[in-house]
Amino acid sequence: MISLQGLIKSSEETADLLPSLLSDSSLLLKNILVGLHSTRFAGKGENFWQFKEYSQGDSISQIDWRKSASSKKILLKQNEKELSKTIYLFFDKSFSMNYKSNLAKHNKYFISALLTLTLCKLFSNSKEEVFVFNSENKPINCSTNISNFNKYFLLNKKNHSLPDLNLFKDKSLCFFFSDFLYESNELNNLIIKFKNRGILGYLIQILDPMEVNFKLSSNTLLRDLETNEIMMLDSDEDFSNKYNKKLKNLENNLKKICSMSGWKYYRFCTDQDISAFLINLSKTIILNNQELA
Amino acid sequence: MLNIINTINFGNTFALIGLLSLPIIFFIVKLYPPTPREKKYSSFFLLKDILKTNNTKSKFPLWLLILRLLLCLLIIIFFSDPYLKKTSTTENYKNYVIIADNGWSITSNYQNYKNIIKDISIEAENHNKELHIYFSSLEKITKPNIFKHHNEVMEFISRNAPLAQQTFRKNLNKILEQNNYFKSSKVFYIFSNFDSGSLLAQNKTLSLIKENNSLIEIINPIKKITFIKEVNIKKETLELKIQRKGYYANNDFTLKIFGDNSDVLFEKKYTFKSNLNEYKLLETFPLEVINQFFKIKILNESHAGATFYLDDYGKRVAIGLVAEDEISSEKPLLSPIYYIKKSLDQNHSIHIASIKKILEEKKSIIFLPSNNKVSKTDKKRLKNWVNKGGVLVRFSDKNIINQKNLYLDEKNYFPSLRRIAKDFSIQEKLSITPFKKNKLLSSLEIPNDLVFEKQLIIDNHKSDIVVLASLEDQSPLITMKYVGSGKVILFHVTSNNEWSNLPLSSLFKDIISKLLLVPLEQKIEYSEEMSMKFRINSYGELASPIKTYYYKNSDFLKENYPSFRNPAGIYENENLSIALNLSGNFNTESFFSNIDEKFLIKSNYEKSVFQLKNYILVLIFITFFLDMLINILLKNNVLLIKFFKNIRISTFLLVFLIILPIHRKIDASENYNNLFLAYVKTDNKLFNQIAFSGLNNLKSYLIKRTSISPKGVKEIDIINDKILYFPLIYWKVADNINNLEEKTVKKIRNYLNTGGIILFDIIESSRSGSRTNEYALEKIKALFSDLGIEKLEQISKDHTIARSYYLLKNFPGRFDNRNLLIDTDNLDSKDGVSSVIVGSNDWTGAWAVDNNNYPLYQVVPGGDRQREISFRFGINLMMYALTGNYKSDQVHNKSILERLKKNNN
Repeated sequence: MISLQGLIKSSEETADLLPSLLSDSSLLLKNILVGLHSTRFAGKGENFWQFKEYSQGDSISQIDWRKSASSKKILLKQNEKELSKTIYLFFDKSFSMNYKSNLAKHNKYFISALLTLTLCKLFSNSKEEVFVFNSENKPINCSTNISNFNKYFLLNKKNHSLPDLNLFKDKSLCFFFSDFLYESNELNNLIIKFKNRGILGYLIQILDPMEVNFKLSSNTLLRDLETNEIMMLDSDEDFSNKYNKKLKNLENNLKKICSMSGWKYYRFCTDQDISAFLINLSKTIILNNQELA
Repeated sequence: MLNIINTINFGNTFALIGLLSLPIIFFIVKLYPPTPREKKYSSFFLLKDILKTNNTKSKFPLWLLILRLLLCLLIIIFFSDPYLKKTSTTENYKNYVIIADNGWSITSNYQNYKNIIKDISIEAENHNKELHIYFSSLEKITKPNIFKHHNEVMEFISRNAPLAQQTFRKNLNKILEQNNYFKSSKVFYIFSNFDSGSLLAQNKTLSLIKENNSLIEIINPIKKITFIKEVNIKKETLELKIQRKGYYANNDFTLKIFGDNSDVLFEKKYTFKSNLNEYKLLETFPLEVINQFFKIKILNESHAGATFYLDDYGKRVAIGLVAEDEISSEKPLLSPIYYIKKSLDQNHSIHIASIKKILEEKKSIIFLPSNNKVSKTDKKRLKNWVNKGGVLVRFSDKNIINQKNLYLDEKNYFPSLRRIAKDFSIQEKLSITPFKKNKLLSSLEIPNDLVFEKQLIIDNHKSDIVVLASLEDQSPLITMKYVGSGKVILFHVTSNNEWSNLPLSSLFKDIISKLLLVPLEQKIEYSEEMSMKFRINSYGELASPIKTYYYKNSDFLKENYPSFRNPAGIYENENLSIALNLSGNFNTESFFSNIDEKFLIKSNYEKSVFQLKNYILVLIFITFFLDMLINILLKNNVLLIKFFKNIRISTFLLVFLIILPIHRKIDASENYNNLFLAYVKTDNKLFNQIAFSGLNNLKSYLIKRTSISPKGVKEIDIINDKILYFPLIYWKVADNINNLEEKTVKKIRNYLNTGGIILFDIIESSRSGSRTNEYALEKIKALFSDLGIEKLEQISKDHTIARSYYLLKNFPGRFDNRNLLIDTDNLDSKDGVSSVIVGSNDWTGAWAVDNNNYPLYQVVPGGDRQREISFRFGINLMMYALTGNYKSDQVHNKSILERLKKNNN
């Protein structure tokens, strides 16, 4: 059992990562294309988009009289259409996320927090409304002030938990970072409900390389970080096959949940290049957004 | 199998109790297996159904447990001292007996001797038998030394070092005759025929031993030995006879001669003639040098037979010191006699008197100090005495300058006085030049504070005078001259401190004592009793005597070899000191004589006990290492395959694999980065040498005359070597051209098609006029048809070869055959360049030179001009090979035509 003291200590340690998280995420940001939502449509925005000849039904207040006088046509001044999206970022804060093998540089927790923060900055740069769930699973608006993202966002929790459905606005965009190493029924239910409310999103599975390719020597005692259970490893030739099969099943399950509700599934292994992953992810987000628009 | 187990015995059976611990270890390890390492893991969500939740501790791997138990077992066995018994017949013996020779030769292979005794004593100990030891050189009949433990035996052997003498084994024979108990013992006789005082005695002992116990094992531990058989010193020659026996990988031996102070006076290497085991050594030294010799030794032989000590007859020399009257007692320190008298050892008999009185007695050396007035009659007497063999040492003084007859012989010298460090002299201070090696005074040290003020100088002194010592400016200080059969030694300074402070120095005493060696000659006229001063031990070194031995003249007449009564050593009395050596006094009868075959003499002791301890120790180490390795692998979860995958070892292996072919690459890069002239290696060595020399010479011509600078000449094996690197290949073809394999033909064809040129030079076995050798030509034609060259044509006059560098009309080599054929097939594909040129002019023959840079062969008929043209052909050919038809370009035509016009004019 991890004591309360140990829990606080480990979460403090994680929180101490915050400055480095912030700097890392701003570094990452530079690599990523900006402009998620320049929609190239006329609409209610501050920026001028185009002139349009007046037709019946148009608002008279939009007529640009000076331009109309010079061109002998009545022209309306149209501004860019601005669609402000609400984005929710949620990352798993359970103990299992603290796992780091020798093969990876950072634990899954760090990586998912990093990705969250980076996306948060990315979206707030493009004037979206970004909410990040803190350790009490309450959404905090971080788009106006990034410093809202403080150490309370990094407090570890013992078990997996999902945020409450009622906290989400309709037709918003969601990002879920987790290892998803738990029974997926609850998640499945949640996402189905999301679909009904027009909420779309991404499931991003963060895994340690050791979890992807499980290899441990015999005569090793394993301790579950969450349940504190102990398990003895016996060498079994067929073991890796079985494990891979199970992992694949989990992946398929998650993909199935996504495909049913129009969500997207990604897997990120903590030894991968994070910026490449983010670039890839942001491109997909932009494309998806355009499709929707 | 059972037999083997039966023959395994243990020296320390108590250690086997340790075996009881093995089951205990087994159970402890089984009950308390090692705790596994704990590792944290994210979640068991995926692992749950695959792995069982298991809180019990894992089992200890059985095989590892067995390995560790084996290690314990081996350690226990190691301490129980196991050995293998080969025979069990020893049980019938009452005890073990070693009869051991302990004469001089044993020391030469002492370690082997000791090992044999040790092995036997260990065996006896393992069989719980007593070991009785007899030395064959018993002084009197005694009981044997009895031991139970091999350590005691070895201690006893070390205490009783071998003796520097030969033995007749008389008392041993008596014991063998009387004693019956050898019959019931296991007897070993460690025997060296070099120790036998006579062949008869040796044979008697051997047969007695055989009679006593026919199963006796006779072991000879001596593998090889070199010794001094004879020493003869006759006046100035030293004659040694060195003999050796046994197998020596090296035929060399080094002889060293030491002086009294163990300073090395002489060292030289000699070589035995192969198949000969005797070396006669003859060296000549001046008598005074021989007189300094004290010890002669053969290097790397550590026994008394390789060391010879010389007698010191000069212990007491009869000295005459000339004094006109009694020594003036008033000013002794100024007296010329004082320092000489002081320097002479009081052991010598010194007689101070007038010349007349001295000469009346027999003296071997007379000192004539300074300031002595010698009357004419005295001078005559002295002269006679010297002529008869006397040694006169005289000193300079101011009167001597007026004398011409310095050395008392007929020759006149013109002495003069030299003042050192006074007006008009250049040198301020002169000392003595260091003495030369192998000379009378060589070992003396020169003090720093010597001051010479005056010195006697003689003209033309170099003629027949030996300079014993000289000053730093090479002016003589002490000279010696042979007069009649005697010698006159002249000091060029006074015998007191008038001219120099030499007489006051320590060097003066040393010089005087060395001079006393000059008159000595061997003479044996001792009659008195002498006592032993030093013992010569079996290693040939001097040691203090164990007890007092006396040596009498009568003894010498009876036996002149070392024995119990007179052991080898140095005996002295007041007058002389005599060395009784073993070397040179051997009875060598038994050394090289064959021993009857019925006495089976082994050269080594075959152990009947085979110690297993060392092997078990090796096994322990191996098991321990294995255990460690397994431990490391298990703990760190290192898989060997991974180990090779990850660690740099694989890179090292790769580097190694890469390096292997790299030298071939270097070779290739050398070939394509540089230009080489090449010729094809033929079966005829002479052809190859001529081709090499010829091309080498052409190379220097190319460098001298053109911008082509070939790096060198290469010999090509047409079958194995790559030929693509060479623009031109010279191929000397005799009529015995071999058929080439398809692969080689293909290679040549490729070479020709890619721009290579081969010059075929057909050598004819019989030259008849200008006709080429038909047979060889046929062979070559066959080769050409293989190569796809069908058409060979006579070279045209305006061919590029004729103008590629020089303008040539013909292409002679050693001969001047007009025939020079070139191929005209497929010229289009080769840019009009012919790749095959065939002739029979032996070009390399014309080019080749000998070591002195003279041409090897005559060129016919044209002489030197033809040789020049031949070189020009070589240069043109090389140019052609490198530039192709460049010179047949129209651009060059104008200048070529102009040049041709000039030639025609």
